[in-house]
Amino acid sequence: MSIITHFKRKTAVLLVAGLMLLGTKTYAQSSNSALSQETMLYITLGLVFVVSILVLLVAIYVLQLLKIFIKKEMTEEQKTQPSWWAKLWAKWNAFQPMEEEEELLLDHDYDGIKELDNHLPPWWKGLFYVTIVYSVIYLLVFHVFKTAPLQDEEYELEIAAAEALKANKEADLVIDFDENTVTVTDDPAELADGQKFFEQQCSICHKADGGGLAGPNLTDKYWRNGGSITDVYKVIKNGVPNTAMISWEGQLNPLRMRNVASYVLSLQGTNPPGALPPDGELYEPEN
Amino acid sequence: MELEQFRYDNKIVKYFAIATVIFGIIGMLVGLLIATQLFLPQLNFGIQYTTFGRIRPLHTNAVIFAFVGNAMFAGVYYSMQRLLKARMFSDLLSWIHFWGWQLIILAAAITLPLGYTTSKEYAELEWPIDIAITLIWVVFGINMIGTILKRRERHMYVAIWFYIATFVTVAVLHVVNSFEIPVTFLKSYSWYAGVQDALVQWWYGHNAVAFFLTTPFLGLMYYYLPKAANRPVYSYKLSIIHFWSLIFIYIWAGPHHLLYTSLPDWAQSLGTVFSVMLIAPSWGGMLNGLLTLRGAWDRVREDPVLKFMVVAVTAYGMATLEGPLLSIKNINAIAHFTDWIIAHVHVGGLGWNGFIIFGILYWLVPKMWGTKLWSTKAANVHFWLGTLGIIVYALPLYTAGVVQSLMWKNFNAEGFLEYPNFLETVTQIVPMYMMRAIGGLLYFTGVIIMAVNLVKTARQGSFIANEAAEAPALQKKKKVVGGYWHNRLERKPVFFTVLVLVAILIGGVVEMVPTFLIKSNIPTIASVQPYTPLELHGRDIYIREGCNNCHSQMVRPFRSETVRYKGEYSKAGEFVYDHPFLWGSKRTGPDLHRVGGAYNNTWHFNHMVDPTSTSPGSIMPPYPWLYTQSIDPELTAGKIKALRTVGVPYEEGYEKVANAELKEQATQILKDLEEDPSGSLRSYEALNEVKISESSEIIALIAYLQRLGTDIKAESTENK
Repeated sequence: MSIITHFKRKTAVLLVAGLMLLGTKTYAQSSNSALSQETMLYITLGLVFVVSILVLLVAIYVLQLLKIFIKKEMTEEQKTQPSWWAKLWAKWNAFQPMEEEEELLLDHDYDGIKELDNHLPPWWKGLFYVTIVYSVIYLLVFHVFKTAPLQDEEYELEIAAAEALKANKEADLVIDFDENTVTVTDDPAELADGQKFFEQQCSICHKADGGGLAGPNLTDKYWRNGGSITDVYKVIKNGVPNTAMISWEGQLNPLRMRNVASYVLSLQGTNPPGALPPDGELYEPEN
Repeated sequence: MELEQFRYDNKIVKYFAIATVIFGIIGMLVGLLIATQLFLPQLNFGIQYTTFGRIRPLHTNAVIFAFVGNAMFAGVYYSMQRLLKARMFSDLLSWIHFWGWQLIILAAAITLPLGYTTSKEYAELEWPIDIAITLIWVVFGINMIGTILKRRERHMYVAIWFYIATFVTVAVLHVVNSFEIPVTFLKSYSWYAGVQDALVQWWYGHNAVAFFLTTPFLGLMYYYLPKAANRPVYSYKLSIIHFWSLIFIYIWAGPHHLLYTSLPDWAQSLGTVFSVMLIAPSWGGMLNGLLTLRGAWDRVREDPVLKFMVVAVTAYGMATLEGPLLSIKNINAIAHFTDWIIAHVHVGGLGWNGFIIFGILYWLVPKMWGTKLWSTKAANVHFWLGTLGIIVYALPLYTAGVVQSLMWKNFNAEGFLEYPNFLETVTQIVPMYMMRAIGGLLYFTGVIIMAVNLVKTARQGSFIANEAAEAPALQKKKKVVGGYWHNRLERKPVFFTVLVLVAILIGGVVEMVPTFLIKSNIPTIASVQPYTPLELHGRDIYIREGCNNCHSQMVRPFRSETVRYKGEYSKAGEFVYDHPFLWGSKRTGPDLHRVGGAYNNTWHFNHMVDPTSTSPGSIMPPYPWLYTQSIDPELTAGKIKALRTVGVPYEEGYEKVANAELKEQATQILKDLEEDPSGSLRSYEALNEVKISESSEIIALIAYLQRLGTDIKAESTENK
């Protein structure tokens, strides 16, 4: 038994280490797209295999070493002495000494199986009582005194906390435009901010290069809802009903919405590979 | 007193044992295949019958009902005869049981890949098979109770108590959960809808684990462990207390599969507290097993049978502590829908069930063939491969579960999801999926070694088909009085069975009756309407393809989910027409409850042709057959009538106009696809030389997906 637990612990540690290694490896590789996905897959697969074989071998080796060390360290006396753990275990379970086992033997005999009349292990009984008390308190707290929030209220609290955080951040922003007067920004820092947001959020539907996936291509002159800065700003702010384009007003402050809109317009004419075909009406900007 | 001569039936045990090994190998092989498909989706070979959604249920059914089921019967038939000092009640019933069960397995192996499924986990088999299961189970029950009644042993040993509990409870669970209204020969709709269906299903699902995977094997442990160790059972008192507390408490714990869902709060809380209270009763079994080995530990190091059993009991202890911890809502909020749960069930399945079965087989086969195990060394190799297999299987999945869950939940400092693209959270854990498959392969290799070892063992011995035994007859008339109160119960099998029935009914009744009868538990939402005929067809395709095996339809009340899935969290009232419910239990792909309207029709069209075209890196397989197969409008009327019978308010006579409406909706979707500027439909048709029509399955599926979770949006617009 002790060997088994030893073994498991060692292997566990090694495996976790191995996994961490793997995690960072793939992470680093994801930014390097020079290799094809399939090649990556096979490299990772090979790596995983090699590592797991290594882990296996090391684990077996360590186990053997451990066994030898433990045996060597032990004097004859120690080998017969019960360990501190064995003593504690005996105490917790209120074991009867093995020699007195005969007295506990019941007159049961089922196909040769006999039964002892040992007491319930005291720690086990304690555990049972504790879980029952926990359960009573749990039900009282949530359903009788209602001092802890149930899931709907928990959700409201979570949303309120997020709102509060946002309100704090926006308190000292100066906004000198609205959706009708917004203009394109050409400040590189602001465009970079727009780009960062676009690549993180908008790219799920519009692709990182704006060529379109579930959402339309944003790099050509054809627009479903108009291609001026105020049009694009409005789409971001209000969303488009009955499509996946949600309103971002609740989540983005006006400055950032302008940055994103400006970045989107900066993609005009980039003509990325694999872009979706034109969709919507032609829009020519007024000079 | 005169001794009666009789013979134990070993032949039936032999057959069940052989079936155990064969189905163990098959079930695990399917498991290995689907584990590999999670990083190599091409391994469905482009065939619908071997696609993940259809064969994942095949894996679970094969390992639970074929592998573990047959092992249970083998173990029970061997031990019960000896514990009761009687041959089985009827050889005929034994053989009906055996062949009936194998036919059910065969039926499952045919119907599941064909897509005949109810979608309810571990209860996927369709209604004719459900009836067959009921009949065969009753045959098993009669055979068992009959043997108990004609026993030569006055008192029933603890193993028998567990067998009785198994029979009674599985019967109740199976019958109640299988209430369904047939539509065709192999298609039915669940009698229950939405929240109620979910509650019944997880009352069943959880207790299938309890009374199919746990109680029978505790019973088997109580026979084979003391036999193999040649030690007396540690504590008779502990047996009594943990038996009754286990069966009484277990039945309440089902709702812990539905924490943070639309299930009423009070039911969720009952699920949590009864799971926590279950720790001690479960550990009672583990302790009684491990402490029985007191004084025999030196033999554990040598005897592979004991080695397997010790790890099995330890794994049982680990899984039954982890289960209650996962039922605490803060932990559940992280672990639910992730691979953590897959790891958890496999510690139980591979560790507890698998290892105790291997231990029993290694003990049983030499005994029945009157010989020694062919190779102890091979058994030891099996033991280590199995143990390592479990570790290499479970650890990566624990990591995967936690990593993915945290990625789902993580908001950056600016209040946005750090990983808004669900796919990122999948590709991150693909390496863990590879590791897991290696763990599975190790475990599987061990099983093959065992199969060889057992065959060789049988070959070198000679089978004892009927084992002679003798025992004094039980004097029926003799009045036995006195004894400990429980001692008295042990000699009254019928009364004992009734008590068991009462104990296991209480929890279910307390949870289900209010959920069914009290309206406030499922607040009505006026804008929620029944599905249109086309959507119904689409929903049935969704069920046939087993989409619910990877996609949930339950947005939980977390900010990270309402933001990710862009809508309100799911409400109980939204599911009132969902026969069956399709909440799912695992998110290998994203939740779909708010997918309606989130993408346009062409996106769905392209996505099902090749998921990686719209979602690069996706591990979902393509579904080309949806573009060549057609729905059968002949079935529409039957579907509507069946649903009306179970309470969906389709007007009388609606089935007569339904197909016209179906066609109209399909035409609209088809028109939208045709007019899409991308020209995806046309180029697909040209490339594959197919013609998409109004009755193509893909059209119906799109209709269903576009409807999902949208009714509540209508409500919020009206309120504005």
